[in-house]
Formats: sequence, structure tokens, C-alpha cells
Amino acid sequence: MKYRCKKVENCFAGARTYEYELPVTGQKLLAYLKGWDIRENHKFRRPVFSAKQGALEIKGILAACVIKVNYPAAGWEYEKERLERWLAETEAR
Amino acid sequence: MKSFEHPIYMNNAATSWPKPPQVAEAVFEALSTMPGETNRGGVADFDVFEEVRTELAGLLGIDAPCQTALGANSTWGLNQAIFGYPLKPGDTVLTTHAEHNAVLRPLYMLEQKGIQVKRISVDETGRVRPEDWAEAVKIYRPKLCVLTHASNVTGAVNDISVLAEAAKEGGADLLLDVSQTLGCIPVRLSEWKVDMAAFTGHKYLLGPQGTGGVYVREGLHLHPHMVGGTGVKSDLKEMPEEMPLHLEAGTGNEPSYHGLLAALRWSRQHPLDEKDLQEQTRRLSEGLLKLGCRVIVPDGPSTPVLSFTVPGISIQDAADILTGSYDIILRTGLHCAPDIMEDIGMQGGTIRLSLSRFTTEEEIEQVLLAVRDLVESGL
Repeated sequence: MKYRCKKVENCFAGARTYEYELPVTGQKLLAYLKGWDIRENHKFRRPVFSAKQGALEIKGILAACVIKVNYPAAGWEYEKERLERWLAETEAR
Repeated sequence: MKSFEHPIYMNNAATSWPKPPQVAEAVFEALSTMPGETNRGGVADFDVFEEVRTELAGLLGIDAPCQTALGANSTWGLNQAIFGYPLKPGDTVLTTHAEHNAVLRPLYMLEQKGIQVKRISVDETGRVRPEDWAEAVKIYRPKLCVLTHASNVTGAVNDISVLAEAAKEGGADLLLDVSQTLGCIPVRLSEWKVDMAAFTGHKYLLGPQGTGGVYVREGLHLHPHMVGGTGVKSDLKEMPEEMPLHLEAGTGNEPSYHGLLAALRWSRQHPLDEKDLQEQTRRLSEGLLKLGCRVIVPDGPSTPVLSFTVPGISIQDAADILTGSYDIILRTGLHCAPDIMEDIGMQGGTIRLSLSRFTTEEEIEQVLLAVRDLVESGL
């Protein structure tokens, strides 16, 4: 699927947080994440989700098309490349 | 659950919003009108910078408006003051852990040039302890002291009359950063015998970004940090000696200064209700404490700024939910003031809420409801 990626500029030390705008909502994205540890939380005004696989964790609002990834300190460039390759190779339905 | 229909803006310590409508109107009007004459002065000339200086003089508590140079922001003013002040290798500058990077980074550069910089810690609420300050002045004999009027992280206001007196007794000049206080609480530079002060127009003065400057007391000569055209005295090879021209090189941000002038005039006609703002801040602070949050609550005077964390939830997660799920605009992290975090016991940073005169009781209630959801979410 096509995506637009932008680094999140924040005030944390050593932050490696990126946002991805996708052609699908977080809710639809979850259907593609087979084998990931997925959690939904519906206690908030706009319910949220997180999906974890190894050191990689995706978070976002279920109804929104923007997800946020805070890459781990170790091997963050590898993890970023891995996620972006997966996104590019995944066909949006 | 109550409905949340509009974004709640609580990032006023960064940039205030909303602005009085006159501000945008003035900027639009300035951009829509033919620029001023090529020559300065004259009876018919309306000099927006001069008008702003006059308005600011009252707020800064100074007699001579011309001692205020106008530029882009506080950082511009701080750089002019720190790099323009006559220091030589071996001289000492005293500062604190509560300072913003707009102070810290210029000082790191001075250290590379052989200036000694001494930094004193602050108390657990971000306030400078007067006894520590006075002792540091005695021990280090600084030539220059650089100090914030209030922490941009915790809101704690420093007792400038006491701290300035200690600096003076030690023979030091004092540069005060009033970015977080001008327009919010009283500033009395002449009364406090402050030598220089940097300020910005886009926070509690309610003006546009791209406005701010530096006050320099009469008799103190700064070396201009930037040089260039002044529109007058063009035959000189150096910047004109007189203030404010001495520090004002290049074309000024005239449209934004029209906006700032409108904001200053509006504020003069609509004085801030300090007590009401303090009460709103107290209500928010108490509400967060009741929800089990860790909140930095300074004793005594403070600006409408609150730093907090939610136990068991990372700052980033908490902020993402407050903003993403509830449209609460806030700030997280180190707030460009990294040195204060250890002193206040928040090494990983904080979530910061900063109110303004336009913050409503309903907005505070909505923020507390959102934090309650967060606390009860089981995240």
C-alpha cells in the first residue's frame, strides 16, 4: 500500500518516532497484521490500538488513517526498513 | 461521557492561541497596504516599531523605550545579549538548570571560547533557591548572570528582586529571560536593576510569531551580534552607536509587528485577570493530583504552566491519547530545558499543559475527564 511517512519532531532525547499516513484506517490495518500481538482499547473517546511484533510496535487511533511507530534504539533503521518494505508489498484492499 | 466538540488548546507556554481578532486583522492590513516610505522618521511617519517599543516600555517597567531592540524572538534577543556582552576568556557566567536551550546553547558556545559557565541546580519545583544563587555569586564572582524569570517547564517564578540584588552585590550584570512572564505577571526591570532582558511577542503578549527582542539598560554597550543595513547612517562602516539601531540590522518583520501592536493595545484595554488564571491553574492541578497524577506544584508565584505524568503510562502514550483521542493540544518531552529534568525528578520529561486567559472552566473539566479515562483505562 502507498504511504506517506514523516518523522515526528518532539522534545524527547533520542526520539525515533515516525508517522505513516495510510490508505486504510487503523481498524482495517489490523486485518493485515496476522501474527502480531494486537490490543484494542475502546475506553477512550476515539478508541486506540497497538500492534506488536518483536521490537516493532505500531500505535494509532482505530478510526484514523495515521499510525505512529516509535522505533527501538537498537537496530531502528533495520526495523524501519522492514516495516516500510512490508507496507509497500502489502496490497490495500 | 461529555462531548468534546472543539480542540482544547493548552500549549500557550509555546505559542499563545487564540489571539484577539485584531491581531490577524492588523497583519492582514499591513500586508495589504503599500509599505512605508523609504526614509525613516518625519512628522507623518507611522513607525510601528516605535509604537511597539512605547507600549512595551510600560510592560517591561522601563523609562526609555529606545533601549529595546526588536527582532525575531527571545532567542534573537538572548543571542544578541549573550554574544554581544563584553566577555573575555577566563570570565565567568552564572546560570541555572532551569534555563531554556535559547540560553544554554549560546552559553555552550561561549564555553568553547574559554568563558567559564557555572550552572546551579534548582529546587524540586524548578525554582532558583536564593541562598544557592547568592552563594554561587560569592564563590564564582561571575561577570554576567543569566536567569529565567519563570520556568517554562513548571511555571515556578523566581524572586528576581532578591536574585538581582545578590548579583549586583557580587558586581555582576544580569540578563533576564522574560519569555514566559511578560504579559502574564508583572515585570519591573528598572526597579529590579536588571541590565538586559529578552522577551518574545508570541506567548503571553498574544502577538504573532516572529516578534521579540532585547532590552539593554542605558550605559551598557553590546557588540552587535548581527550587522547590516539600518536604512539610516548608511555612510558608516559599523552599526550606528545609538540604541535601538545599534542592534537592529536588516528589514524588520513589519506585518507581524503590526499584529503585536494590536495585541498590546488590546491587552491594555482588556487587562489580564491574574487571579482568575491562577484559580484555573489551581483547579487543574488539584484535579490531576486527585486522579493520582504526579504534578509539579510550585509553592508561591507561578505562571499558568503545569507539568505532570500519569503513573504507569509512558509520557508519549499518554500524550498521544490525550491529543489523538481527545483533541487536547499540549506539549511533551524535555521542553527545550533538559537540565531542569533531573532537579525536578522527571528525567524522562513531562506532559505540559499551559493555560491562557482564554482557557475556560469547561475546557479544564474536559481535560480532567480525559485524564480520568486514561487513568482508568488499564493501559
